[in-house]
Amino acid sequence: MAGFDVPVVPVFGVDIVSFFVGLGVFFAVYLLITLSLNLEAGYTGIPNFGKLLFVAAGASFATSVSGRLAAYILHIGVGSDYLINSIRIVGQVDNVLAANPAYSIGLFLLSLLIGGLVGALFGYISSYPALRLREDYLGMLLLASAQFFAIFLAAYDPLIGATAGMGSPDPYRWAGTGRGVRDVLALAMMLIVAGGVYVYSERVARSPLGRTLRAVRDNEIASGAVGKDIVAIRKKVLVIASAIAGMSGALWAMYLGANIFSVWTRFDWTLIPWVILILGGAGNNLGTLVGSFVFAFVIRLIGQVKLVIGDLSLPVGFVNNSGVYGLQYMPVDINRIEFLVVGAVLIMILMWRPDGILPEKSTFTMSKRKLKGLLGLGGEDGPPPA
Amino acid sequence: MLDPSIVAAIIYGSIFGIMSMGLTVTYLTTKVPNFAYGSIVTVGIYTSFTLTLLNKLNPYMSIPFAFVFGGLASVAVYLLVLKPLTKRGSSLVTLMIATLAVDTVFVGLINIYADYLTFRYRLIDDKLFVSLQGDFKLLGEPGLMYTAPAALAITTVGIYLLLTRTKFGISTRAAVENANLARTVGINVSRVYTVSWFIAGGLAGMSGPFYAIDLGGSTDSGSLLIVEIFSASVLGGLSSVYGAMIGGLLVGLTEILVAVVGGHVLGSWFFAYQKGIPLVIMIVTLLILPQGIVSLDWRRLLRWRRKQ
Repeated sequence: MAGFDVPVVPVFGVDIVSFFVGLGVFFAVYLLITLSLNLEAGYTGIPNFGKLLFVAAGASFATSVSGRLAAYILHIGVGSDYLINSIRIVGQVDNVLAANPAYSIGLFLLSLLIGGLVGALFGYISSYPALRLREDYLGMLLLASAQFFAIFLAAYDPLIGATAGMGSPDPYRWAGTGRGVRDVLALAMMLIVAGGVYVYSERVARSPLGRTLRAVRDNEIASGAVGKDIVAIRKKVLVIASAIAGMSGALWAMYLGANIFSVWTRFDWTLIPWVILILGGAGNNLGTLVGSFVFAFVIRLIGQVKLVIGDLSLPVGFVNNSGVYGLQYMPVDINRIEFLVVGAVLIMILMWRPDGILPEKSTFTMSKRKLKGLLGLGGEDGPPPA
Repeated sequence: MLDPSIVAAIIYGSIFGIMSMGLTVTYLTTKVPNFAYGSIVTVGIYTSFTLTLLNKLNPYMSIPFAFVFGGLASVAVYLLVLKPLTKRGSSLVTLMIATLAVDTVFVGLINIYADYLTFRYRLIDDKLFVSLQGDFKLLGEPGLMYTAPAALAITTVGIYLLLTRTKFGISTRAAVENANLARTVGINVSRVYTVSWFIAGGLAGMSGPFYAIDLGGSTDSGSLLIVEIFSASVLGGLSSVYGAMIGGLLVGLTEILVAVVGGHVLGSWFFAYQKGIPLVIMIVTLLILPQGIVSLDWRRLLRWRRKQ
C-alpha cells in the first residue's frame, strides 16, 4: 500500500477529502467526551465542570506510559534521559510500529487501556466530593482541580515534558506512507471506538439502569426511598464516564502524535463539550451525536475561513521590512472571534432553545399494548377486561 | 524594612479580600457561582493599562474608572444574561454554564480589544504585560503595601455602613434574606440586585489596577484568578461579605507565605505549584468546615481550649 495516496477533491479551492477527515476526527473525539458528559450531567445530574481534568489525565498518562513501555519492550535504548530524547525514541518506536501492524494495534489498545484506567481512577477520586457537595460547590471544586492539573502539566516534566512536550507513539503509520492514508486509518479507529461507546450509552439509557439514573436525577429523595443506592449509582456513573473521557484523551494524543500542556485548556475540553451537550439536547444520546456533528462541521468551516482570511492578515505583532505591521488589513486576530462566537451561541441556546436540537424524550418502556395486556386492560396477550 | 515576601503577601491578601467580597455579593443575590467574575477583574486590569499607557495617568488615578467599567460590565451580565434566564426558570446548572459562557465571551472581547490596541497604537506587549509603573515608595516599601490594605479597609467599612446605615442597605439585606417577603413590603428586588451587581463588579474592577501594579496582567488573568477567588469566598463561607474579606486575606497571605517557605525548604521547584495552594485550602474547607470560617463557634472553641 506504500504508493497509495488519498485522492484530493478540490471544491472552491478546498480539499473536501481532508476537510471531512479532519471533521470526522474532531467529531469522534467530541462525541466520546460529550457522551460521557451526557451520562453524568444529562442522565444522572452530576454537573461536571472539570471535564478537562479527566481528558487531560487520560491523554497525559497514555502518552507518557505507552511511549516508555514501547521503548522498553522493543529494546530501544532510552539513553540517559527519556525526556530529553523522547522525540528520537518515539521516532524509533514509530519506525518499528510502521512495519508491524500487530504491534501497532497492541499499542493502540494499550494506550486506550491506560487512558481509560487513569480516567476511571480520577473519576473514583472525584466521586468522594461529588457525593457530598451541592451542585455549585462541586462545580467550583472540579473547575479548580482541572485548572490545577493544567498547571501541573506545565510544571511537572516527567509526565509530558512540561513546556518541551513529549512525542506520542503513532499506531496508525502501518497503513502506508502515502499522503493522508495515516489520517484515514486514525479516523476509522476513532470512529469504531466512538461507535462502540455510543451503542453502550444507548443500551444503558434504555436499560433499567438508565431509568434509575433519571430517577436519581429528577428526585433523589424519592428514588432513595424506593431503595435505590444513590451513592453506588453516582460513583459507578462517574467512574465509567471518566474512563470514557480518559480514553478519548488518549485517542486525541495518538492522533496528534505529540502531547504538550498547552493543548489542555478549559475552553476546548470543558466548555465545548458543554456547548455540544446543550446544543444537541441533554439526556439524549442521539442529540449528542447530532450536536457533535453540527459543532464539528461549524468549527471546521470556521477553520477553513480562518485559513483564507489568515492569508490576508500578517501575524499579530509582526513587522516586515517595508514597515507593514501585523493586522494591517484586519484590525482583529481571527482566532479570537471563535471564543466570542462559541460563548454567544451557548448563551443564545440557553435563552431560546434550552432543550437543544433534539429534546429529551420520555423513557423507553414496554409498548402501550403490551402494558395494557399485563395490566389486564385488554391488549395483545393479556386476558380481556372483566 | 520588612521582608519582601511578607510585603508581597500583605498586598496579595488585600487584593484578594476585595475580589472575594465582590464575588460573595453576586453569590448572595443570585445564588449562582459567577464564573464570569474573574473576567470583570480583567476589565479593571485593562482599563488601568489603557489609561496608564495611553493617557499617561498614574495607575492609582485609574481606580475610579476601573470601578465604573467593572460595575457596568457586571450589570450587563446580570441584566442581559442571568436575569432573563432566572425569569425563564432555568436550573442552577444552566445558570452556571451561562456564566462560564459569559466568561468566554469576555475573554474573546478583551482579546479583540487588545488586538485593537495593537492595531491602533502599535503596542506589542498588550496581551501580557509586566507590572504597571507609577507606584510610589514610602519608608523603603512600595506604595501598594499601604494602599492595598487601606483600600480593603475602606471597602469593608464602606460596605458595612452601606448595609447597616442606609435604606438601600437594609432593603438589600431583606431581599437577600427572603426575596418574596421583601417584594410584599414594596422593595424593588430587581433594582436592589442590579445595584448590588454594580457594586460587586465595581469591586472586581477596582481590584484590577491594584493587581496590575503588583503583578501585571494578561487577557486571561482574571479567567485564571477565578479559582483563587472562589477558594477565598468558600473559606469565607459564601454567606457573609465580612467572611469573604477575611477569607480573601487568608488565602492571599497563605498562598504567598507557604510558597516562599516551601520554596526555601523544598527547593525552587515548589514555586511552580503555588497555584495549588488555594485549591488545597478549598478542598480542606469543604471537607472540614463547609460553611466557612463564619460558621466557627469561637466561644465553644475557647471553652474547649480551657478544658484541655
